[in-house]
This record gives sequence, C-alpha cells and structure tokens, in this order.
Amino acid sequence: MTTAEQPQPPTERRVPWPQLLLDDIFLLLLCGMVVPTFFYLIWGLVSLGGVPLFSR
Amino acid sequence: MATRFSSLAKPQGVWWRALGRDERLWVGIAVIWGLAMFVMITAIWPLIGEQQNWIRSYRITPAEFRARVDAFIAAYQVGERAGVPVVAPPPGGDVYLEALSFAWRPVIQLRRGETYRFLISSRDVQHGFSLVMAPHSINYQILPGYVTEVLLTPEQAGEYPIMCNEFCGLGHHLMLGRIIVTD
Amino acid sequence: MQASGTLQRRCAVTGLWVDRAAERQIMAHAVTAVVYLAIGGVLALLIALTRWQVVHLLPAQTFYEFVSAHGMVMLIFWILFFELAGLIFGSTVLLSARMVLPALGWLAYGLMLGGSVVATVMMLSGQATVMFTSYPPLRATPWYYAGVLVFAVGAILGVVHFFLNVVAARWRGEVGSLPLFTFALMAAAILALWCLLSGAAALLPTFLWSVGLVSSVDPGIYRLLYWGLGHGAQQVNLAAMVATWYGLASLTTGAKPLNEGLSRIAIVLYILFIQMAAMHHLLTDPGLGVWVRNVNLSYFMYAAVMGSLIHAFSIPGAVERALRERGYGAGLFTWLRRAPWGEPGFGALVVSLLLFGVLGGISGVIMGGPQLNLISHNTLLVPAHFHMTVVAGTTTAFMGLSYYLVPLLFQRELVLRRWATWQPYVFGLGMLLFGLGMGLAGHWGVPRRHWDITFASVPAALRVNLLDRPEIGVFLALLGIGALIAVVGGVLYVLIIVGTIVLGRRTATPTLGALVPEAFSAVPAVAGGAEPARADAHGFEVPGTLVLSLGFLVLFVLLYGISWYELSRVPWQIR
Repeated sequence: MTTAEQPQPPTERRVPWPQLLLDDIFLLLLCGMVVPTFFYLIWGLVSLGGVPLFSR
Repeated sequence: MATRFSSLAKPQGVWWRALGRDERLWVGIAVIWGLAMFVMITAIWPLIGEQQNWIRSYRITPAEFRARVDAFIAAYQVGERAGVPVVAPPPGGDVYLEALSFAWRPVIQLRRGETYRFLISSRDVQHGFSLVMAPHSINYQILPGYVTEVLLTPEQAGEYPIMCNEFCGLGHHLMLGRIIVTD
Repeated sequence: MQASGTLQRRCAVTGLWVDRAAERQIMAHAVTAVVYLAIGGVLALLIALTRWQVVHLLPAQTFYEFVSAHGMVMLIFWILFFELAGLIFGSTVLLSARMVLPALGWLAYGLMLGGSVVATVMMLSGQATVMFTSYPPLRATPWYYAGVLVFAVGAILGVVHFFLNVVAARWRGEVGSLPLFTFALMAAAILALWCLLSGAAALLPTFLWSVGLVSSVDPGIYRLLYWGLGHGAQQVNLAAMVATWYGLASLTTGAKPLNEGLSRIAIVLYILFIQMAAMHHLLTDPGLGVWVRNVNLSYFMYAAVMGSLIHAFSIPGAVERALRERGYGAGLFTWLRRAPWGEPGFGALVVSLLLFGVLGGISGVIMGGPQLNLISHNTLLVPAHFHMTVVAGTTTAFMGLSYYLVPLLFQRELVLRRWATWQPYVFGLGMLLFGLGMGLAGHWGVPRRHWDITFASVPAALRVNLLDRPEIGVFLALLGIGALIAVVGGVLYVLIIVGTIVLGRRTATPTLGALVPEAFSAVPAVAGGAEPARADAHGFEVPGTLVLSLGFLVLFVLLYGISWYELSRVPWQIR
C-alpha cells in the first residue's frame, strides 16, 4: 500500500554525500554502539582495572 | 532547490542545503560556548581553583581497612562523643574514616589551616560522604573494597557534621558523623 | 466512511495507512504506560509530602520502599512503555507502512509487562528496597533482578522490532529519508539498545549473586555498567522528547525545520556522544582517572550539548517561520503572541521546552563538571535536575502528543477538552515550583533519598538539624506545594486520557483543535515546490528566536558563573 502523496519528483542532481550518510541507518547504529562502548565502557573498565592495592 | 518539510512527513528529493544566516550565527555561538566550558573544567579551574576533584584510589578489603581505622583510633584518640571515639591526628598526617551502617567512625578533630590526607572507605555497603559546610556540602561516593583519598584543608574553625547521602538501609538517616576544627 | 480493512485502515483525518496490528500494540503499550504513570504519581505525592518535613507523612521504611518503587515505575516503566508505543507508531503508522512481524512486537510487550509487574510487586511488598539503582552490596530478592532483566529483554526486542519495520519499509521502497520525527525516534532506539545492554551487563551478575551463584559483585564495575542504563535511558527520553517537540511544532503550527540537515546532524551528535555522560554519576567515585572522566562527562567536549542547543533554536525557529508565513510577521514577537497557546499540544511544547531547557538542561551540564559535582553529588540537586528533564520536559511533551495520538488511534473524541487546554500549564506550574524548591534545598546541601534531615533519632552530641536554617523549610514547602499542583495536573491528564479511551464518542474523525492538516503530508505548501527563504532587513529569517536563544544563553552563562562562585566560597581546600 502506498501513501496518497504525489510521486517523488525527479532529482535534479545527485544526492549530496552528507544526506546519504545521514540516511544510512546501519552506519548510525554501528557508530552509536561503538563510540560510547569504547570511550565510556572500555576506557572506564581499564581505569577501574588499574586501581592499585592499598599499601601504607 | 531544497524544500522544507513537516517533521511528520517523509522528506522528498534533496533536502541537504547550506545553513542560513540565523543558523550559522547560532551554531557558531554554541560551539564557542561548548569549548569554553570544556576549557574551564580541564584547564582554567585546575589552575586557579582551591577545590579540585583529584581523587586517588586504592583497593582494600573491608576487614583490612577496619584494622587501619582501629590502629588510627588507638594511636590518636583524645576523647569520645556519644560513644564514638574522637581522634586528633597530627597535621599533615593520614586520617582514616570508615562508613558503616549506620555510623561514621571515628569523630575527627583537626587544626585550622593544616592539610590532612583523608582515606575513606566502607565496611559494608555504599555510603555517601556528605560533609556539611553550610550552606553547601562536599560529597563523595564511598565504596566497600575501595579507598577514596583526598587532601582536605579546613580554613574555618567549627563543627562540621558528616551526613550519609547514599541509601544504605533502613537506618540511613541515623548516620551522622562529625569533624571538629579547632584554631 | 473510511476504508476499514482487517490488516490496515486509512485514517480519515491524516490520510495515513494504519496497520491494524501496530494499532493494537500501540494501544496496549500506551494504556500500560498510563497505568504506571498513575501508580508512580500516587507514590510521588506521598513521597513529596514526606520530604516536606513539617508534614513528614510516611514512616521511614515505607518512605524508602516507595522511593525505590517510584523511581523504577516512573523512570523506566511509564516512560519506556510510552516510548515503545512511539517507536511502533514512528516505524509503521507514520510511514504508512505495514508491521512486518507482529508476533515479535507482542512477545516484546509480554516480556516488558511480565517483568515490570514482578519487579513492581517486589518493590511495593518491601522485598526490593534497594532504590532504582540497586547498588550492590545492597541486596534485593532475586525476583526483582529477574523482573527487571526480563523487562530489559522485552524492551530490546521492541527496539529490534522498530529497526525491522523501518528497514523493511525502506527495502519495499515506501520511504527514502525518514521523517524527522522518526529519525529522532531512531536515535532514541539506538541509544536504548546501548543502554539496555549496559544495564543487562550490570544486572545479570547481580542477579546471579542474589541467588548465590556468584560470590560478589564489584561495586565500582557495577556502577560503571549500571549508569550506562541509568543515565542512558534518560538520553533515550531526551531523543524521544526532541522527536515529540518537532512533531508537536509541526502539528500545531505547521512548523517545518529550518534546515533538515542541521537538525539531523544535531541528532547524530546525540547518537555518537550523549551516552558518555553516564559518567556524571561517577564523578566522586574512586577508581576513575581525570581524563576518562573529562572526555566522557563533557560528551566529548560538549558536542552533545551543541546538539541540544541546535534543537533549542531550530524548533522555536521553525515555529516562528511558520507563524510569520501565516501572517503574524510584524515585529520581533507578534508571532509568539499570536501562537496557539490554547492548543494543548502547543502548551505542552512550550512548557516542556522552557522547563527542560532552562532548569533541566542547564543544571545537568553545570553539575556534570567534576569540580561542581563535589557540591552537588547526592544532594537534592540531582533529583531536582532530573525531575525537570524527565518530568517537566519529557513527560509534559509526551502528554501533549498523546492528546492527538490517542483520539486518532483509538478513534474517539477527546473528553474534557477544556481541561486539556489548561493541563500542561497546571502541570508545568507545579513542576516549576517543585523544581525550584527541590533545587534550592539541594543547593543548600539537603541530601537525597533521606527520610529525616532533623536527625531526631541521633544522640544530641552528634546531632545537627538542617531545618535550623529557616530557608530550607521554605524550600521544602515549595517542593511540597509544587508537588501537590503537579499531581493535580497529572490527575487531570490521566482522567482525560482514560476518559477518552473508555467514554469518548467513537468517531473516525475526532476533533483535534488547531491541528495543521498538511502536517503529515510531504506536499509543499507553496505551489511550485521551492520555498523561498524570507529574511528581514538584517538577513535573519527568525530574529525573534535568535533573541530568545541569546537570552537563554545569557541565563546559562550567568548560572554557570554563579555556580563556580559558590564553589569558591567553600571554606575548605580540597585537592
């Protein structure tokens, strides 16, 4: 079933690459998983893992 | 030329377009403000501020920390408040403070203007070290198994209660310690 | 009448094709959401009347039980059920697309429902008085952790279902670029996937520990993983609220975002960086170094904050543009005066934008710095901040949106329409007073999650009474009175929605007030297709919004400066 809109007008020129990137769902999903996993989870775990034993 | 679309409609064709004058101005301001805030917390305040967040941490078992606290009390006890030992450590020395359900142990007596190395941990669950210096408070999250080390220098004499501001059980609101600062 | 198939129906008001399975699932999620909102609201009232210390309604144990339940019921159950309803809507109905795998949607819903019911019962029966954060070594009954985990799995499946529907609609060629509303919801879905996985990583070992299969859970690692969910879920709320803002703006004023690409980039800044700010909860913890904190707490040098600032400008800007085109173009603010203030969705939009932006957002950024966190952590400042964001912000916006989606999806006339006009303002006023009272009390050091700041049961030699400072009593009274007004606003909302669903006159064309008819259509309003940008004498299209935004920024800078000054007044040196 299609919507009641008019058919897509012919594009006068190529779609700019920023628009293509922003339309790429899988790319966004990948970045959204990888970036905070690295910066927050992994770096955080490394920091916690490096806590020394108390000795005084 | 790109058309604008309702946020509830599927955009058609090429919608990518250059920023208008309004947007360029606002984005420029937003970027400058964001960077300014970042420079403030990473560079400016660390240079000029007297209150820093440079926690040093260690691992320890609750039992071992408790032994340190007991030794600290034995070495420097000068009195008692409501059954809790009052301890006066030497200036520049280590101060062991233990959080437990439901008390802060010991009560600590400090000299104004001297720096002390506070070593804080928990005997059981997580507690919230909240040092009352009205109208504000200084707060640290205290974890069992970890020692939180900070250098504190009281610059005003008085009595500073220590509340707990992390839920630690039904007696949470009974936890009240104290730091006494003498001239 | 309208075509009424068994698989789809054509909405007579919007022209969208409504998948029947999607419709039923949206209804189920929405009804469940409102039930949890009502439960959480009752708890809210009782808790507020206890923190208002002169009233001190609940005894200690009940207070702590209810704070635990209120947190989980509101922050997770009410809001995620509503958001899943939104995800289903945005990936099917709004795209006029079919739901590809209804069974998956029902499985997700069932798990969410079962898990949340078990967890709620455990909390209300006193077997899980561990707060929303359930920090080990505090221990709850294994059924609690199991309930929350099952809920999380259901929510993950719901998010996966969203992606399946969107991708399928793309592959079928029914949609190229997603509507901005759905794009923002997609960001919410990505953020949700990450945060639910982080939370599961924290809660699974904790569950195993609660049944004795694991000997202990490191509290530092738990906190790191948990706050990925705890704060991350709030970023889901932020993205969903931003979607709702754009949607309400288009619905009530015909607003079209000034620059599609800019709004989408601002949303991508969320996708990339906003989850890092889970670090805000760990700033006074042991075990984390200076730079892992600095990079994360700043959402990578405040990139995500720039995203929020862009939306804060784009949405009013789009509204201004649309109203100027409607003929209210005189002067700087005529468009604002002539805006549809009586339309529930517009009222909700403005209340939400203002309270979220000015009180919620600013306070979050300020407290989220490592130094200022020293005087904020675990004070009432923290719940003040998140009530301004999640309640005054997200919940108000969701309420506004539901005034349109409920009549449209349930095909019933909205009841008590005049109350709906006032409800966002009543709720907003209550939340404003509540937020100010709680925030000021927190700034004065009053602790959160605390039953008695008079410390009446503590021996006199150690006792302190925070109420000895009379201003604190005033702040807590403001908290209590604000809560009362807000609860009235909440009750109004629940009555209107439940009344509509149960008693509203059945109709295929519910009256929706000043709903802009072409809000759902991609047909451009201007014949010829291209919309010329109309600028003023200085070359600005939206000068009123620029002035408002600059005013907001001035306020931000002021509050920021005051906060640092307050920190410098602390009479101890800390290094």
